[in-house]
Amino acid sequence: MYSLGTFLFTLVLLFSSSLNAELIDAEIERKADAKYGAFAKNRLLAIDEKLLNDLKNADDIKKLNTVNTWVNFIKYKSDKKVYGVSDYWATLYEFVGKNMGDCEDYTITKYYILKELGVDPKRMKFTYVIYKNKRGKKISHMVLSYFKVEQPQSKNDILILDNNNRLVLPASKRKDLIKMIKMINGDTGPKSKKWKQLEENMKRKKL
Amino acid sequence: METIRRKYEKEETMTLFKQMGIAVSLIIIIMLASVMTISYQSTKKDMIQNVYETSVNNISTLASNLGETSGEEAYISTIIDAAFDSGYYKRIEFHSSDGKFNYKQVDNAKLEGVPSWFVDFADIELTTIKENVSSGWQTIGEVQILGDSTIIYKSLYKTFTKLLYLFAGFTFASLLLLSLMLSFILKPLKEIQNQAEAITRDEFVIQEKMPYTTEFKEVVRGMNMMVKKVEYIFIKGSETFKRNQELLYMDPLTKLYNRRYLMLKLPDIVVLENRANGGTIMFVAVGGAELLNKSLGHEAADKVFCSLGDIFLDACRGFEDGIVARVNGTEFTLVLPNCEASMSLDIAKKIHERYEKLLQKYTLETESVTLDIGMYRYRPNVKVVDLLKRADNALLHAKADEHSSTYIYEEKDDENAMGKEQWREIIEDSITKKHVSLKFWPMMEIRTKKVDHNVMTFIIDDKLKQQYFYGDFIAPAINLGLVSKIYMLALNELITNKHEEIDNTLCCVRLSNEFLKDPLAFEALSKLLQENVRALTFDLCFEISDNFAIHNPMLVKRFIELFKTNKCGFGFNSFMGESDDFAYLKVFNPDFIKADVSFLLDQSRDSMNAIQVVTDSLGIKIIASFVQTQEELNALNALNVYKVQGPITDKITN
Repeated sequence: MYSLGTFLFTLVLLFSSSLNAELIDAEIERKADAKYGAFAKNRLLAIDEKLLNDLKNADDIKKLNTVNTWVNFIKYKSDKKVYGVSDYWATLYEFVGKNMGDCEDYTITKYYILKELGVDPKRMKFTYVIYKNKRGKKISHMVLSYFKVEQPQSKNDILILDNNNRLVLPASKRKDLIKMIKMINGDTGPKSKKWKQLEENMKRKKL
Repeated sequence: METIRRKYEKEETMTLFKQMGIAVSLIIIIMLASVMTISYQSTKKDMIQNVYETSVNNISTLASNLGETSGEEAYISTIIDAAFDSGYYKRIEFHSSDGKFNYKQVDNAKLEGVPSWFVDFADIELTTIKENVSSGWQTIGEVQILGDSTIIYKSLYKTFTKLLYLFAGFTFASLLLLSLMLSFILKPLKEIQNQAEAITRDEFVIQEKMPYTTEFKEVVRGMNMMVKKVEYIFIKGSETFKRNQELLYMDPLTKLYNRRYLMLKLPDIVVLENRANGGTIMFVAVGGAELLNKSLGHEAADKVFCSLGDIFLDACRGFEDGIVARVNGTEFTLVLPNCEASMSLDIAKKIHERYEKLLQKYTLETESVTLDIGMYRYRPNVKVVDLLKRADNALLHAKADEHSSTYIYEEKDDENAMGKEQWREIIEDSITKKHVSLKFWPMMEIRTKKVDHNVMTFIIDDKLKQQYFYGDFIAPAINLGLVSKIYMLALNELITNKHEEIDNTLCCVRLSNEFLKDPLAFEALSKLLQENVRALTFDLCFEISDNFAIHNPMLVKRFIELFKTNKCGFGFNSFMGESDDFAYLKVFNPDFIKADVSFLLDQSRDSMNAIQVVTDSLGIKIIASFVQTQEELNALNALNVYKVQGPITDKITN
């Protein structure tokens, strides 16, 4: 009876773990340690403990701010320099592991952490914008938008998580984002080729 | 020979079932493959068309979006990024009209989930779609879209594997169905094949069940007709032969055998192999037959002779293979095998008693119409000439003796120079020391001058002292009950040792009656064949005496089954056609029959034709044995007998 009980328990454990794969688990930490070193492991550990665990019961605004601040600590570097291609969508693990990436990578990592924290993914949009830097140059850019209400009526209803800004501000306060080109859903809308690829990479925790 | 021929045939032919199976399977496979190819091709075409149409739709939206940017580079690149990221493209490019700004998004990711051979095989070429981008009335550049072929490769590969599984499944199912249908349709053909094989084996098999298929039905009907005809010919031939035999060998009045039959049969009877103890021959002469005819008239006199014949037949009853023959008008001969002299005297006495009663019926006296009996108690292997001379001598004595009408010829018992015990020593010695050597005599086909088979005989050869021929030792061996042992010795020598002179030929072994009768010999032979027959470098066949086969059908059947299971042939020798009909030939179906040349030459052309009809309808070869002279050979040719053995074969080869 004992052995059967143990067996069933193990089975249940295995089953639940495969169904409810955690965003950060011990194995990915070990792998990150092996590939990128102890700091990478610690960063993932920090996401798990400082963000996913501590913010469990916080409200959405608190979550947005903390996650934005935390993720923005990672250094910016273009895809060309990191991956050798002009445009690459890195997984959370690659981005945090390497500790560098471009605007899309920030957006993706923020999206996944917030989603894991229970923020409604339908309210988060990957947003293509034109950003005007301090020298007046117009730059193609991507940020994560958060809809405070289900159907935003004005720029005030949309919060922007941007790697160029420490603060999570409503779009109305972001005069540097001179034009919004397009908003696309995360993994909840119609899936493009890029999204399919990213989802697959996330699933197998590509490092 | 027959079995060897069949083996070759098997290799060169293919059953109808297989041929039809292959043909129809090929058709099915080709059909399925074509359907699959067409389906694959049209799917591929549809997919390419689909991607093209989508790309056309997309480019118009993209071009108008780009038109609204009034040529600002950051706007253009962001729009292209957004479009590229949210759709399925291989490449999106923008070139400004003045050539100063070019922007490109390309997907160089490796194609996953599709093997490279399939990529080479499918070889999908998509065309790049171009459209001008206008802002207001001004053309600011050109946008180009290349649709994503990976999606086509992936779904095409999926379709391809599905089709392949479907193909395999359908092929398997249809082949299974085909095999079931073919075996159902061709089932009657199997029965036809069985019948045909039976015909080749010369068996008369009539197929009762008519097949459903028209063509097969005609074939079966035809074959049944053919079999019936051959059977009819066989029966006719057999009847004709019988009738001819009666004319040839019977006394028309008394229905007793005639002199011709007696002379033919005597050598066989006195041969020791058939009668180990010899027997008694009686010459009976009726004296005063003229008086009989005169006083009674021809018809009544004939009746007397018939009654006399019945008396002799009664006297002969109880002697296996006994013969009663009317050798001429007034003389009769009785051959009583195994009959001792004392017994023959009783028989003679009984004959006289009944003869007296017969004459009394016709009011005749034994003084006027006499009956004299001369008897000779013969020993095995007596010469026929001596036999007749001595019996005749006895009859003369009987006639001359006024007091007795019965006389027995006495013979000094100095026949075998060597005593029984001396022979026992020689034979037993040869068995223990295996002093036996084999000799082979050819049986030849005259027309081709080729050896058809070799007949084995054996001699006792003690290497040092002396050789004893078969004719010398077989008589004492029979008396001593050592026949089976010495036969097994010879057979062992033949089967277990190599004899180069008979390699790749057919070797025939004559089995004596004594051997056949010995139950232990059967076991020994069957063991010997079972263990060695596969390794033989020659084909083996056996000969059994025709007369023995007629009188011991059950025993002979057992032997024949043994031969057949060991792929050995067999035939009958000393053929005289003495059975009531030829049904036994039909049952046993020997490969050949061997008949004494004198028997064959006795036959009229008619009679010979009848024999040949019978043997031809059963596929039996006729072989003449003991052929010695060229005259005999010529006479045999005239009777269409071309297979001979005996001393003449030496002359043929030379």
